[in-house]
Amino acid sequence: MVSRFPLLDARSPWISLVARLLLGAMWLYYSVPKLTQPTQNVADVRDFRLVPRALVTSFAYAQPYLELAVGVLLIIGLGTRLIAAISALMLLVYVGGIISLGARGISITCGCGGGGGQVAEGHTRYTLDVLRDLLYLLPALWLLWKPQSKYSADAALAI
Amino acid sequence: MFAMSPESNKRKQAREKAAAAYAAEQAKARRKRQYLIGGLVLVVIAAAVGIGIAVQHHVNQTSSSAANGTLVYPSGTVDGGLAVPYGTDQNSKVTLTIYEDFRCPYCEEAESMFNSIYSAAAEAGKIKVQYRIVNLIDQNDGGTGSIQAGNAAACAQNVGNAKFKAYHDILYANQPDETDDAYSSNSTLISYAKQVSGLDSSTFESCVNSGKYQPWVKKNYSALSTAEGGTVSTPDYLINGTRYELTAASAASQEASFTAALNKAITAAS
Repeated sequence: MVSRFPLLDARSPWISLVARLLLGAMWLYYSVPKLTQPTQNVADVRDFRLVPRALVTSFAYAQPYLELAVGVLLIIGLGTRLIAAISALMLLVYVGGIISLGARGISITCGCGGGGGQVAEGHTRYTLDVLRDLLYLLPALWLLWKPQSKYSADAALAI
Repeated sequence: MFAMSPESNKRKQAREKAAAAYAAEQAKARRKRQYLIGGLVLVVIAAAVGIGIAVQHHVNQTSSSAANGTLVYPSGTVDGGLAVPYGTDQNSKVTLTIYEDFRCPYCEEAESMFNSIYSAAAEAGKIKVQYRIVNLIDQNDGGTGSIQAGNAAACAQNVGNAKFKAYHDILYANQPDETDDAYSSNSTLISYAKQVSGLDSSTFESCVNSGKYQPWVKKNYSALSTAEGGTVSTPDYLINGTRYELTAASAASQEASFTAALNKAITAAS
């Protein structure tokens, strides 16, 4: 099989390594503050008014653990393509949530990564939040395409 | 020399077949490993979610040891021992029932608008007020500030009815952010009690620390939950049983409409 991009193919395991570490670090960065301040996360989740009231607390407690697991699995490189797919899905859900805030006219500081709460109308920054999440989507999509990377558990297990 | 002997042709075919079978075997093994790892990854993720929910459960449970004790009523309570009365004429025909939670920001907002209005009417003997203290925010956000503050207020009622109202107002004046569970500290609650003259004593402090009236707060919550059909929201202001709806209107207009609603009930009763 002759590749159309021989240079890219030679480098892609390294690019995938960087993508894995960046995306994994991103998940850890957002999960740790939520782990240490669960009540803050409960309030943030409730402010989105998307999760049914009865499930808000459970969702808010489970969410940082899910993000932590995804981050750790990315960094060790186990099941990379599956985790990349889950990451992309989660990011799309978050993006959808933020867009729906704007559409429903709810003014909060988004709570994405700390410091939630109400803000005055017109002081939200949803566009920035969405753009940032779309930026995080790039390494996830790259890993979906090229999951094989250097120094990964997958490589060690000859996947 | 183009033609091959039929024998060597056959051998080549056999070799290719064996190689293909080997490759297929390899691919099959690799797929199997991929499925195994995929399964493992899903198990890890499910376990993470499970741990989160278990932690939440644990938080709720540790907070409820005192809350599951025996139900005792603070002295001087009315309406089956669940309501704390306020007002100079307890035979008034107009009853304002207030369901509230010391940790709830909307309760604080309502108190800041309506407290002086209903207090004036209650002091003048035109209405009687019945406070019902619940622990809604604990259930929403986790934590124990609502039930501990409610317990401390019940301890104040046990010291004297006037102490309850004074302490109640101080707890609202010093209410922490909803996400800051400052009222889950008994020493914080006791330090605010020092602002009410004659409230703080060793009896009061041991009452606060024991959480003796936590079941009473829980009982009020379940009473409110039954009354509201399962979904609880606070505050709840009921004038002779009819709910006064809070709106997003300005404080001035809500104060005016609350005053009007109270006056209407007072006129109707006299």
